Parts: sequence; C-alpha cells; structure tokens
Amino acid sequence: MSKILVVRDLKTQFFTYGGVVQALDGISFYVRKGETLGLVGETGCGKSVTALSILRLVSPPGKIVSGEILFEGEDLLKKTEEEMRKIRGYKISMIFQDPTSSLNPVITIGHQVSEPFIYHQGLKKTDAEESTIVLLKSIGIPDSDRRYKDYPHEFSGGMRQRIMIAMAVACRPSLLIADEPTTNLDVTIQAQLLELMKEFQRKYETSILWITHNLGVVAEICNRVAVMYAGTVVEVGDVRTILCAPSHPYTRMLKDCVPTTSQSKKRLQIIPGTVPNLINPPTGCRFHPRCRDAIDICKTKKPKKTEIGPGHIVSCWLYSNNK
Amino acid sequence: MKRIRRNVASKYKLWRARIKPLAKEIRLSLYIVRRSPVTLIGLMIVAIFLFITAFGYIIAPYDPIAQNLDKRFQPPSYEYIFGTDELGRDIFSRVLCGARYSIQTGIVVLAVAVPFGAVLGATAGYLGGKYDEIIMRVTDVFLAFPGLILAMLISAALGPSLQNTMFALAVVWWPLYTRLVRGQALSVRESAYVEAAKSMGASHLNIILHHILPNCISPVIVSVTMDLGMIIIWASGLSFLGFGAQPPLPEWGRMITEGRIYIFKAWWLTAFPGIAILFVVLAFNLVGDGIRDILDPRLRRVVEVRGK
Amino acid sequence: MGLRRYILRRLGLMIIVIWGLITITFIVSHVIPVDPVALWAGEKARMQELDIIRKRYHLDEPLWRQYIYFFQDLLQGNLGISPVTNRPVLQDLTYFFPATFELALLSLIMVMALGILFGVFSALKRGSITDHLLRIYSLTGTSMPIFWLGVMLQFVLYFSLDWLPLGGRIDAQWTRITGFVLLDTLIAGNLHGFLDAFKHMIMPAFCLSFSSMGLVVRITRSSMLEVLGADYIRTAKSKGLPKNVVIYKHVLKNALIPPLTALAWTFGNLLQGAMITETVFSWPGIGNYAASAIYTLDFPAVMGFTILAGISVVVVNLITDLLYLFIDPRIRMLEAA
Repeated sequence: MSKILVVRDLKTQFFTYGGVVQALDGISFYVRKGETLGLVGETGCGKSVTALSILRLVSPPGKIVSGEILFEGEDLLKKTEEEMRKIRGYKISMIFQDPTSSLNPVITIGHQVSEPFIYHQGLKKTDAEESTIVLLKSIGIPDSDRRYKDYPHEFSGGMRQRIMIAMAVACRPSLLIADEPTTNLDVTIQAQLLELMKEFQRKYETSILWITHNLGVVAEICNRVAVMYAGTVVEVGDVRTILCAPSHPYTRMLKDCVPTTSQSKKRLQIIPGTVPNLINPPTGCRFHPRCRDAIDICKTKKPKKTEIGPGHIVSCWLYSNNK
Repeated sequence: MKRIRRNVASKYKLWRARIKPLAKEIRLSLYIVRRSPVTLIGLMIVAIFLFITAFGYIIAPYDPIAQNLDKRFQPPSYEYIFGTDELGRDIFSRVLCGARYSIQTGIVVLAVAVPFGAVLGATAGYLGGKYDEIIMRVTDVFLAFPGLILAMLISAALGPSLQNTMFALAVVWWPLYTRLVRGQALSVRESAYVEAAKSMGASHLNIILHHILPNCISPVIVSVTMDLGMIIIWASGLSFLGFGAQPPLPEWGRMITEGRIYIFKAWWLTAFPGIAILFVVLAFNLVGDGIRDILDPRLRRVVEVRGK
Repeated sequence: MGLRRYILRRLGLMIIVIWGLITITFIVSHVIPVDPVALWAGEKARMQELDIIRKRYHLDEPLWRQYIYFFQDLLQGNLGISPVTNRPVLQDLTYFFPATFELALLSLIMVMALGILFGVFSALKRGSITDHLLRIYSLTGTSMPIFWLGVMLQFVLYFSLDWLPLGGRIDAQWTRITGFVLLDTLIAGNLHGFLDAFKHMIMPAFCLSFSSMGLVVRITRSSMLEVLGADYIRTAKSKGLPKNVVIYKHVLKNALIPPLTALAWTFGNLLQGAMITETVFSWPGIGNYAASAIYTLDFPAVMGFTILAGISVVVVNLITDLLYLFIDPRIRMLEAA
C-alpha cells in the first residue's frame, strides 16, 4: 500500500516571551492509503500541533522550523499559501475537538457545510445546497432540508460534531485529520460517530490520522498507532503490537495505567512526575527523568530510531545497539 | 511559656500560607505591568499629578490669584512658563494649583456614587424579584437621562459652584454602578459559598456585604479607573459652560472658558489648561487599561503559562 | 409571537421611564432655592410684573397642582411658552432641531463608518505603524475634552490657517424650506450655499465625533482581535476558504456585533456633546438652546427639551436592541424563551 502522508523530522517551535517552546522535536511517521493511524499521547505532548503543522495552520508565534511533510509525494512545506488553500478542505480536512466553539455561531450550518462545495468544487449555491442536504442526511441529521437553515446553537453536541464531520468529508478528502473529535461527547454518541467514520473510510478509502489520548478509541478504530511524548514520537507500530506488547517504557507505563477488571483491587498505576517544560526540555531522551529503565546514555543523547519488528519502530536506547 | 511560643509559631505559619498565593498574584500583576511600557508611563504621569495636587500651592512660583495688571497677556517665557492671563496672573501657577480641584471632584464623586450604587446593585441582584424590578426601573430612569443634562440641571438648580457640581455628578454616576454590580451579583448569588452562608443562617445584609460585594469588585475597579478620567472631563466641561467652579478658582475648565474670549490675542490662556486635562485623563485611562489587563483572567493565564 | 410581546413590553417600559424622567426633571427644576422669575423678567422689572409672571406660570400654587397643569398641557401637545424667548417651546424646538439633527447625523456617520473602518483595519494590520497610530488616536479620543478641542480647532483652522469659518451654520443666503440647510440649498439649486454650509459643518462635526470615534475604534479593534483568534475561524481556514471570504463573511459578521451595540451609547454621547459643541461653535441648534435654557432656569424650555431628549434616547436604545436581535441569532433564542 502506498504512503499517502510521510512526515519526516518535523520541528515546530513557538517563539514566546518566556522562551522558545520546542513543541515538536523532529517527529517522523507515515500514514498509508486507506488506513487509520492513531496519534496517542498525554495532553501537551504535541498531537494538536502536529495536526496544525500538517495543514500549515500554525499561527504566530508558532513556526514550522524544519522537516518535510510529503503528501501524495509532494512536500507541503514547499507549497505557496494559495496552493495550500486549495488542499485544505479538499484533499486534507480536519475535524476539531470542540464542535461548539469550532462552528461559526452566526452562520447557518447549511451554509457552513456547503462552503467546501462552493469554493472547492465550484458548485453554484443551489447545487451546493442540494448536495449539502443529501450529505447531512447521510451523516445522520434528520430533516436535513429544514435544518439546513438552523444555527449551531440549535443542535446538540453530538449533532454538532456530525456537522463538523460533514464539513470535513464533503469533498471526499484523501486524508482526514481528526483531533480528538469524540473526547467531549458521551460514550454512546462516541460509539455512533466511530461507526460513522469507519463506514466512511470503508466506502471512500480515506486515510485517517486519529488524534486521541483514549486507548479504548485507539483499539476500536486504528490500524496503526504512533505514541508521542513531549514533542517526540517514541514508538510506532500496528495497533495489536502497541496495545498488547508495547516496547517503549513510556508506552508500557501508559498501558499499565489503564485499569482493567482482571486486576485485583490494587492501587491505580500512575506515571510519576509531570510533563516536562518544553522551553527547557530535558537533555537527551525527553522521557528519561520519569523513566524507570533509564540508563546513562539516555540523559545525554537523543535516542535513535530502531526497527524491532515489521513496521515497528522504537526510539529508545534500550533497543538500539549503542556504541 | 512553650505553649504560647507554639501558638505564635503556628499562627505565623498560617499567615504565611495565606500570604503566599497573594504574593504570587501581586508578583504576576507587577510582571504584566512592567511588560507594558504604556501603563508605566500612565502610572508615572498619575504619580506626578498626585504630587502636584498635594504640593501645588507650595511649589507654584507665583500666587495663583495674585493679579499683576502690568504684566497682562505675557506670552510664555522664562519668567512666566505658561504666560500670564488677562489679569496678569501666572498661568503655570494656576495650572499647578488647579490640579487639586479636578482630582477632588473625581474622588468625591466616586466615593459617593460607587458605594451607594454598588450596594444598591448588589441588593437588587441578590434579592431579585420585586426589589430588583423597582430598583432597576429607577436606575433605568436615571440612565435614560443624558447625564450631562441632568448634571447641568442640578448644578443650575442648586446654584453653580464646584461643590454642587460634585453632587450633581454623583447623582448622574451612581446608576452606572448599580447596573454593573447587579449583573455581577446575579451570577454570584448562585454560587456555592452563598448557599453555604445562607444555610448557616447569615442575614441578607451579612451576605451582601461579605460575599456578594467582594466578588463583584474587579469590574468595579476597572470602571472606577476609567470613570475617574471621564469625571474630570465632565467636571471641567461643566465649569466651561458656567455651571461648575466659579472665579477666581483656577479650575482648568473654568480657565479655558475665561481665556476663550482672548484666544486670538493670547492662545496660551486656553491651550495649557486643556493640555493639562488631556494628559491627566490620558494617564488615568492608560492606568485603567493596565489594571484591566491585570484583572483579565485570560491574559493572566497566558502569561503564567509562558513564564513557567 | 415572542417578538411582538418583547416589543410591547419594551414600549411599556419606555413609557414608564419617560414618565420618571419627566417627573425628576420637574422636581429638580422646581424645587430650587433660587427664584427664577427675577431672572426671567430682567433687571428692570417691577414687583407687579414679577407677580404677573408668577401667576402666568402658576408658580404661586402648590407643587402638585403645577405638576397636574403640566401634564394636562403635555397631553394636549402643548409644551408651554418660554418665559425667556416668549415663544411656544414647541415652536422653538422645531425651529432649532434640524440644525442639530444635521450635525448629529454627520457625526454619527463619521463615528460609525470611520470608527468601524479604522478598527477593522487596525486589527488586521496588528502591530504595524498604522495600528499603533490608530490606537494612540483612540486613546486620545477618549481622553479629550471636546470643548477645548473645539476652541483649539477654531484657533488653528480659522485664525492661523484661515481654512474654515469660525462658527455659525452658514454665511451665505439661503431660503428655509425644511430647515435642513444641506437639503434646502440643494433643492434651491444653491450650490454656493451648499458648499458654504458644508464648510461650516466640518469642524463641529469632527469635534463632536472625536471621542465617540475613539471608543468605536477601540471596541471594533478588540472585537476583531477576539474573533480572529476564535476556533471557528481556524475551522474556516482549515476548510481552505479564500482569505476575503473568511474575513468578510466569517469574521466581520461576528466582530461587528459589539460596535453596533455601541450605537446607542454613541447617540447619547452625541446628544450631550452637541450641547458643548454647539456652544463653542455658536451653532443654532437645540443643544445651544438647552444649555442657555438651563442656565436661565427656563422651566418650560428645559422640560420640553428633556422630554425630547429622553424619548429619543429611549427609542434609539430600543432600535439598537432590535437590531441586535436581528444580527445575532443566539439572542433571538434567548429572548423567545
């Protein structure tokens, strides 16, 4: 299968008054056509920044400093703003976390959803309206011809997220970036939306980059997983391997944190310490201060990427034959 | 003996624990202020202004009401920094001494209007129902009145003088605070701590004074700093129209209207008092902006994250 | 259904508020230590004249009865006769009204149009020189005593540079048809008069709009900045919408809501500012009329003027609130509830 998205050594930084926040420290991963890659990590590890970087929507004081983002073979970082604009919403779309704040409150939802049709496919207003009504219905919004004229605040949270999904998939993008779309919703709605996404993927062979911190969702929908910590990718592999037999210490500790019913009533597991300050990140491996298996070299040198299985990459000194 | 020492020690620790977050807040506020040079300039000007207010009569080179008919209409010079007016009085001295009337008016008006309006607003917001309706209707009537007209009316009715102007402006200003605090009180009264106080049997007055009002403070503080400038402009405007300070008081608005007749002959009579008003009000507005930035929770959060 | 009820409720409130306004004005202007009659009659009046005037204005009767007389007259549309000008107040008001209206309209247009324009510009070009200059202007605007500004403008633009006339409304000849000098000169084909009238209007209008414009620039700018950073704008960008669609459709629709609500405040501000500006520029409008009426304790005139001002402020408030309802769909739902 071909790789639709290849991110190589992406470095994004934020130049603030307090210092330079090194949000992404040279991350690399890829997404194959038709598959779902989960991007997992704690809050603040850089997942959203990654998503915004791919679409080049990082706003000042943030800046993509170096790296390559190859989409369908072309480096997005070398494109002009006008070329990027044609790609956004058309070839690559994004679904945001909070549908309430992500929808324009004073424009009807019908209008907002039909915008990709109008501006990317050049449809006339009436044709776009028709396509939108059909789209809304397929996405699970009843009475879509009447509700076309309604405003976002007249819908429930789950409905609003469906509207966001509708906006994103209107032009059948090749890559869909979903930034924690179900985090704010209750579990039943979450299940419905996951089904919706899976069906969409089946029909149109869309690739999805699914950002979340919920391992349950990962198990449900992802084919492969990339684990992030403090702006670095620590482990990438297929979902079975990562969830059942993780290699990187951080992934292992994450897995241990998820309480299971099979465990007896022990205390909840935590990862001691806190997420590091990205203005002054730890030297060497960024996880070493909290890692229970850290060795000397972890404190001074950044770990190299090692392939320890088919498609399974770990960034950890424990697994590389260090000199 | 030991027990006393232990008590003192634990009391000190308690005090320290309470002071710590407050100290952090103060440090954060100062950091925000330091980062905004404009606010600092405002603070400096306000400081100078307050100094002049206190010591104006002492540092003025000439007596502000002493007439010197030989030296009428002197242009600004080394001897008379701002020149002299139609009666030979030194304008620089008059400007310096006039500072206190402006600030006096501002402080007095706010000192009367704010407590009165705030307590009324807190009561209306907290009690709700018909009390709220009545108080707000009365407030609406006052607010519907174009303030300047009401102030002029009261000043004229009582007889033009600076004191009557202060009273008139206080009457105009209190409804603003009633409305402001009422809005805050409406949301505060749903809070858990108010419920807790009620369940412990606190009287309405007690709740209003100790719980509602303190939590409505921050928009009031911002409003007060902005209003101070406004009141100074209005007071001098009223004096300009003849309703406020009367001669020979060197109030800035009064000086402008007196000097206006001679403007084509001697522009310095009107120019300098006006510049004084402009600078002072500008300074208060800058400081008000700075205070608003300090109290803005969003800005605080951003600064905290960056500084961590 | 909810809308009709809302308007009715507001109208009801309006009537109560105006009644309260009238009552307060009445009380303030009648319960005073100074005897106005002497002021009205002039210095040379004799005791009998004073008594006649007093009788004519019912000043010898108890306060509550004066109040009733006043309302009786009012409900018949009679605002009384001004003891100072000896003309019916209503006539005076209608005579002076157009001048103020023209001035206020020009100022309002300047304030809203230029204020919003500058505010939007300032926000879009954030951090640039233009932005800084505009921010300085808006700050100065809200700190400026307009009576002083007016006098200084007269000094510079009339005396020093001789660009604009000193004051008054028009120097050229014109025939009064509607009372609106700009309109009348156009109707009569009097181009010279039109330009002359316009030149007279520039300084007072600028002066009047100065501080309100500063505030509108400020409100617009901060509202724009807030909207520009909002999540839904990020969504709009992520959809690949063209830049001007994002700005004109998505941003402005949201950002212009606060400045529009400043409209009501601006109107009130202009009304008050008119009193000062008209005094400075000798503009024959109701502001000038009111200022001198208050000074001479001309009750009927003061009452008449206050009623007029009060009604217009309340009406403008209502209109702005309705406008707000139209623009922001979220409010519609809240009000209907």
